[in-house]
Amino acid sequence: MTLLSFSGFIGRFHPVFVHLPIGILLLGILLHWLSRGQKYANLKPAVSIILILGAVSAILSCISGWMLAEGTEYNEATLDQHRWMGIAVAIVSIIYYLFYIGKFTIKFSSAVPYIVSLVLFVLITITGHLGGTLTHGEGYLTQELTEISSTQEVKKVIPDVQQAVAYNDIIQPMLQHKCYSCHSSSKQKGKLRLDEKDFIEKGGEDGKVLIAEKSDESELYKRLILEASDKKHMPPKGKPQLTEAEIALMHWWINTGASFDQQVKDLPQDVKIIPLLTALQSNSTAVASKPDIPDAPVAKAPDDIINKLKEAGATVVTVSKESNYLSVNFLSSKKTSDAEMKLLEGIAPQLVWLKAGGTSITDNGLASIAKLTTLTRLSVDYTQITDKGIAQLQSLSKLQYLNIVGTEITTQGIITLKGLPELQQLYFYQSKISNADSAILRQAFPKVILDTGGYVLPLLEGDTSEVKQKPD
Amino acid sequence: MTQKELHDQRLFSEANHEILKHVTRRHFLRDTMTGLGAMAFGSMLAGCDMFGSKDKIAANAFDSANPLAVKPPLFPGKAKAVIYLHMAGAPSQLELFDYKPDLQKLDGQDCPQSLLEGKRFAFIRGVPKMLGPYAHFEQRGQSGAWISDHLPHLITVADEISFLKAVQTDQFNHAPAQLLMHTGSARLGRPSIGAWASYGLGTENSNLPAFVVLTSGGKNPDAGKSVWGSGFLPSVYQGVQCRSEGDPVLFINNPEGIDKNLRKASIDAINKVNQKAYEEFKDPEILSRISQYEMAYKMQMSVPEAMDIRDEPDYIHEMYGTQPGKESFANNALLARKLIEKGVRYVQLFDWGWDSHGTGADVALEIGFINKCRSVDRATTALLLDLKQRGLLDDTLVVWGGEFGRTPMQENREGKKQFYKGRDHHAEAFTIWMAGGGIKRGASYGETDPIGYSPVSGKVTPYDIQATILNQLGFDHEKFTYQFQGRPFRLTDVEGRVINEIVA
Repeated sequence: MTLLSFSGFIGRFHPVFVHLPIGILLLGILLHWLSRGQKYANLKPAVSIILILGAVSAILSCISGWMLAEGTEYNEATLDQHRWMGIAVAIVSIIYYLFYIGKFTIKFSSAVPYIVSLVLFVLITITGHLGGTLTHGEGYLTQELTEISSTQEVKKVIPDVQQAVAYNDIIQPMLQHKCYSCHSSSKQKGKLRLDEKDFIEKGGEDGKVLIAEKSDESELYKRLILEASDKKHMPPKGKPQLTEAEIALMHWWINTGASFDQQVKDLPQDVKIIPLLTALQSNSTAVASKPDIPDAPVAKAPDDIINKLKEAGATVVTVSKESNYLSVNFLSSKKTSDAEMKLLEGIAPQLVWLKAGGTSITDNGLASIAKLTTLTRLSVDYTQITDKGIAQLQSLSKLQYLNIVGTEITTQGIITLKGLPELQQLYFYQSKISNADSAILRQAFPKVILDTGGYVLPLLEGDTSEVKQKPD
Repeated sequence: MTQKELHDQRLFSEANHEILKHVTRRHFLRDTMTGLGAMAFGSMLAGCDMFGSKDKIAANAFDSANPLAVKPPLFPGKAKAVIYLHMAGAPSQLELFDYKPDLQKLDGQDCPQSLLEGKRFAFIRGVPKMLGPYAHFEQRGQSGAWISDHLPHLITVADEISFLKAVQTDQFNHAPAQLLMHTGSARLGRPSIGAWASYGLGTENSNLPAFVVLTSGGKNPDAGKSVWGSGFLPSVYQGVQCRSEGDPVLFINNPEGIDKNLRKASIDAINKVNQKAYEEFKDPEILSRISQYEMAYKMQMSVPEAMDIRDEPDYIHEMYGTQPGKESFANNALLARKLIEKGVRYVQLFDWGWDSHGTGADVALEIGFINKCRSVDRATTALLLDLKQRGLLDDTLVVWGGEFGRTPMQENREGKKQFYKGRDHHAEAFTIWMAGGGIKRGASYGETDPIGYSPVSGKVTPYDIQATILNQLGFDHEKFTYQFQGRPFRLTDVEGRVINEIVA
């Protein structure tokens, strides 16, 4: 028992040892080749000692690796390959050394060490890569290259989910993101391809994967809901998994007949699936889809300006503990005027959220606010601002949320902001923007949630009456 | 640290826990054979504190001079403020949101023994009869949420709301269940969510308290003031309860013959004495008291403006259905909106009278319950819409729910048949909804069995709801702690999972 755990302990040194043969042997090969030339001939005596050191370290790596492999749960096929390749490295490195020092002499013996060195180089590269695959997971090396291409694909926006084709617009994108990497033109694990209707219907080496209307017999669904630890679970451990909603959509699609051409509206929909389908629609997910704080870090805001603002009654706080981006509001101080807005210019690079509602600011204050180009959220509700001032805010290219509730702003005024690229939410309840202009506004701000407010609840009988006795 | 990183970190530690469950003592002994020496060595070094083992996550330090100063959260929160609408007494999910047509078919039949075995109920004894839903249900809005006719206004805003349909608690009596819901423990002594929020974030408006409590329904919640208490946190973080009838705060005006300056001078004098006492005894509660006096002075200015709903225009009163001067949920809902607008962090509403046992007309599903629904439906809907039109719903989280649910069986108190329809306390499954503050619009999570007895999927607990509220405010419920009695305490103790299924 002691031995067992001791060996496990030694095994843990494998990740340290393995780098020695890689470095030493590659150095040996390099010096061996370099020292052919006149210029580096003086390196020759070093080569043999480097090679023997490399061979010894390779043997040590093999021993520690063998011990590490006991009782671990690496991918067995890769582990086996790595194991025997590693042993091959050790053996070839010994042979290389023996040839180099001239212990063996055969025909063309002067060329042999060079050939062996090339073989060894290839072996080390493959073994190293397999080792990396074991520790970091498959595809680690090329992840950055492949990730870029997959994240660049913008998620398809469905304007009206009922009009969408269930397979093309919902199921296929899901398969593409989560399954194609192993089951499409480039790779066909289990001899299965999922990138075209015919391939999906044909199935893989174990037969059909899709049985229409029977999700509990379709591997395409069954595999998704297996325990994540199950060997047969798909996508395999470590790969991006399907979300619960995606699994439910797959279940729905299969049970409604796995149609490849029908529109959503023609398929039966039950209570559970409707919200999931609606959630795919562009207008329901538009809110808060973008972070309202820049990714790039920013320097700390100058303390003297923050202190001045605090003295003026502002609440100044960073948006989170580790961020230097600031949120400022003037809720505690009604006396706030344009002078305080001027102060804000000093923290323009940091200021992302500003609430100046209910203050005495005017269009001059907006001129200062227009310089706060990092702003993503701005409330200037219940202030004296006018159309002239609001036009200046065209410079706020990051602005996502704008609240001009209870101001004198008119439709002409707000239209000047139609070029704001990031704007998502616009609140103008009790402003001078007329409800009759809603078509113009819709056209000017096609992607923005426009809230006119003024909601009225009808007076229902129950609002004023009471139930007094039990109905018959 | 982003939310995503936190999430990954949590997943990782969860996975670690899973793995560790399979480690037996035998493994431990085997694996530590070589490690025992190292352990001994480590403990010899421990005295040197060479690894700087001081708690790095240590939460916001308590600044006793200015305990309510605004503080940043751990990560940028989607919600700045919370309005928690607690329907004290526990409304019936089976008459409001959890539509169970199958239960109707079983109406009047004996409850199967399998549902009763090993279960305890507050009042049901023997074999009760099943009770079909006494409400007409339809799917509402684009999201197709099931809401009954009892809430004719709320159905118009169904698409703003995310439903949690399979909430499960482990307390079937009001007081402990309310405590569990708001403090993370069924026993007394823990701080409430609002206290944690004001401790963590302070107040955005230095003239108003961070945590305000408003009650209606003629009675305080069964658990008393502890449901908005500060527990072991400094007492400055407890909820400030405002009067629900007449003026919200008494004695807000200076007495006759005393002007503002004299009042200020006397408060300064009292504070000086208190400061001396603090220097002598170093009790941080004295500092809390000093800041309370200062707050009281500031509130004399701010309260008349923030807390008086009478100056709201008529159409707003009409929208909420308020009756100024009287005690009503509608008044409190309007006041909640005003307070949130002014920068109050956490507004807690309790509305008592939802305990529909069917033992009398006022607690009968056919009478009292419907009247309770009418008394909150219009105001709740108005609150959501009013926050929305002012651009406040975006960063204000609204939570609605009771402390537990109600049984699919008709109550039979003392084994007798009751004249009115009524349901007993049911801890196993009920509905809570959330809206705004970075919660998905029109989502629904969790599902109960065909009679609404227990969750079949998407079960969540009060801890999960607390974790989600903290998450929306920008806190990781596992890292947000307070050092007390030698260990860091959390709102969610050792439980809780952020319900990401409803987070936008």
